[in-house]
Amino acid sequence: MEMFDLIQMVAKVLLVLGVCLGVLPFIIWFERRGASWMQGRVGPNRVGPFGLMQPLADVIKFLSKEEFSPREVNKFYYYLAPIVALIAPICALAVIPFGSKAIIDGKEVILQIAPMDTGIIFILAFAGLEVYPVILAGWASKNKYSVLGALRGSAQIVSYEISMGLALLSMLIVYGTFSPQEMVTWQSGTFLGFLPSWGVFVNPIGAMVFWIAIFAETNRLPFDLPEGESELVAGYHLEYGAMKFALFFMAEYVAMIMASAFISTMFFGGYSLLPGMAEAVNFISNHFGFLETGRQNVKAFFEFISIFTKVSFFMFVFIWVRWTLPRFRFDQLMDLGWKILFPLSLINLVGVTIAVYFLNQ
Amino acid sequence: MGTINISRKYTAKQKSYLPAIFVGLKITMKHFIKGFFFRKNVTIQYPEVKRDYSDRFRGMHFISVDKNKTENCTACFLCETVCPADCIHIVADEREDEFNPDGVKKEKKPVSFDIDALRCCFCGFCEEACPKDAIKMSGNYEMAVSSREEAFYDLDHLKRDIKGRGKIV
Amino acid sequence: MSPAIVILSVIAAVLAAYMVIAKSPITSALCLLGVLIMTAAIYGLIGEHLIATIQLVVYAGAIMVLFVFSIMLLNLNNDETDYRKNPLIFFGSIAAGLGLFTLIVLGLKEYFEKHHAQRLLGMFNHETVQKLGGNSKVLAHALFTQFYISFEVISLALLTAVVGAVVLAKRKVD
Repeated sequence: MEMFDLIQMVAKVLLVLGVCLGVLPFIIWFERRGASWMQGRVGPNRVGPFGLMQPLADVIKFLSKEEFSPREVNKFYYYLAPIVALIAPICALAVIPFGSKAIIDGKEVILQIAPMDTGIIFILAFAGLEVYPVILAGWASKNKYSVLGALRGSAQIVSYEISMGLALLSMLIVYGTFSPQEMVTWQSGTFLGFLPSWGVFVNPIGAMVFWIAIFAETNRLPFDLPEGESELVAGYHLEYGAMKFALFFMAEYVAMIMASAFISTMFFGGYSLLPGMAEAVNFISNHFGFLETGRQNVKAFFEFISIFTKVSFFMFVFIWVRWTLPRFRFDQLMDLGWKILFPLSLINLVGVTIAVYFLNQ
Repeated sequence: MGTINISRKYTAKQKSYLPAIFVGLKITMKHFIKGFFFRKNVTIQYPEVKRDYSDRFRGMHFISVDKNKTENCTACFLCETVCPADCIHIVADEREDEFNPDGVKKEKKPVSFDIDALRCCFCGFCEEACPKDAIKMSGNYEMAVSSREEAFYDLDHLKRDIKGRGKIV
Repeated sequence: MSPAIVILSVIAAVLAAYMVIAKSPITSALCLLGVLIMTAAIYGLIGEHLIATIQLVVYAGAIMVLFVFSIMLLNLNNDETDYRKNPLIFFGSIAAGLGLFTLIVLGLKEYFEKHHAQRLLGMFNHETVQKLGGNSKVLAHALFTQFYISFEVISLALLTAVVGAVVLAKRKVD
């Protein structure tokens, strides 16, 4: 491997990890303050300006707490679970493209950590691994509430994975590719003359099913049965304290970031420029007199801003929905998953297949 | 007995949940904008901003005094008798004439007047029973103390100047 | 062979061995999961990303979840009977395993000697696949043209299995 390749690879990994883990404290702060604003409260506002240092204070608290584990737990799996919880979504971020390409020193750098032609299945694979920490944590804790939470969690994730996969499949038929880069290229055109040809406009039912399933996959609020404070205390991470709990907590938000990036790549045009950004690229390039290379780099920068905006928006929606909807009952959850979303996505898949067949004629 | 099944007829719009979800999202968004842009919250930032209670709030006790800082109490024991929590303890004695500046003859005075605030249930019966309007309850609700002894109010403590509802007479 | 692949293979072999020895069923299941993930990593390292990801999706993400889920749901306890105490079963199973392993090695050796490594790839070497538009396209094309009948037959078999499972489960409830 050449030196240049190595450096650009490390730089890309650092960029994605840095942005992803760097915005975590802000997201956690926003979750708490946003929740208070939606409920007419004030929220944490004591530590630092606007309470922005609150996550830092939390981290100090978590780090300085006693490292405690109950006597009966299965130590190896007990410690393994939070690690897996954090690693799986971070791995899936590797195939999310955050820009088309930058040109540095005359060489093209594809702005995606792992440019695979099977990117979407890769994300699906690591999304599938997210069920293990729930099972492991619940089982290893040797606690009835934890086991209940783990059983609920695994049943929920496995059930909703099917609708998610079918919604994904309908989009794969539309795009005709597994590669996220090609999907974004497909979505950069226009649809019906005026709309951007994003997946959500081409296949709205698929987008809706996918979006609901994503909530269940990330255990966010209308579907947070594995945790269920009021009935299962804290579900599968009941027996976790100090930094081990913090890892679960971080993993939830990393999984949310991953899910947001996934849905923006699949259904909302990924890094393709938002309206008005193309003009900005032209303006800046003309203003500084950039040539082809500089123009491409400016464009890559704006593409990064574009996907960052989209991911932030979906993070906001995650938080917004969390503080709006109450928790489902377990039978309602299964009804929604198996009796509504599953047939809906199946019918949608057939419809999309027929439409694609006739439009390609 | 047994379960009663109530069946309601839902319209297709209600069954699909989605319109209701959007209504809910709209409401939370409204509150979010109110809190985020206009800073209109119902929370009171307590140590900095204090809450105004009504004039009838029954807070910490005090004994009203006249302009010479002499207590109006005549140690009639009515409050001690009426107190359901049995938290008032009075020791009475004869009152010297120089402590009767208004020309009204008062025969008795309390030598000690103790209220055990940990036993008190803040019912306000003592206030109602008092014929001289001596014992009163103020609007002060910050009664946290750092030791048990501080919660036993003696006569000096009860005669202190107090703000709130109970203006010093 | 790169050292990474050797390390991964060794880990996979150790996990596989532990899967057999382990007493608690959930440890066995998780060791099997580890073996599957290691295999996926080896596939990824030799450049077969499609196979690696499918390995993860199908085995790690679906089948093993069901294994672990059912072990947890049925609350299987540790295996009480220790087969190592019965020498006939102990040595018999070791001998059977070694015999099976030798047969597999012999068969593979014969196969490799008969067909050269070049011919093993058939018409699809790396360049051809790239020219045809990547692994997934070639695979999809082969699946829906050359192997169409078998693909459909397998899906029919799966459908039968699903119907059978539903019938069996239903009978128990009634």
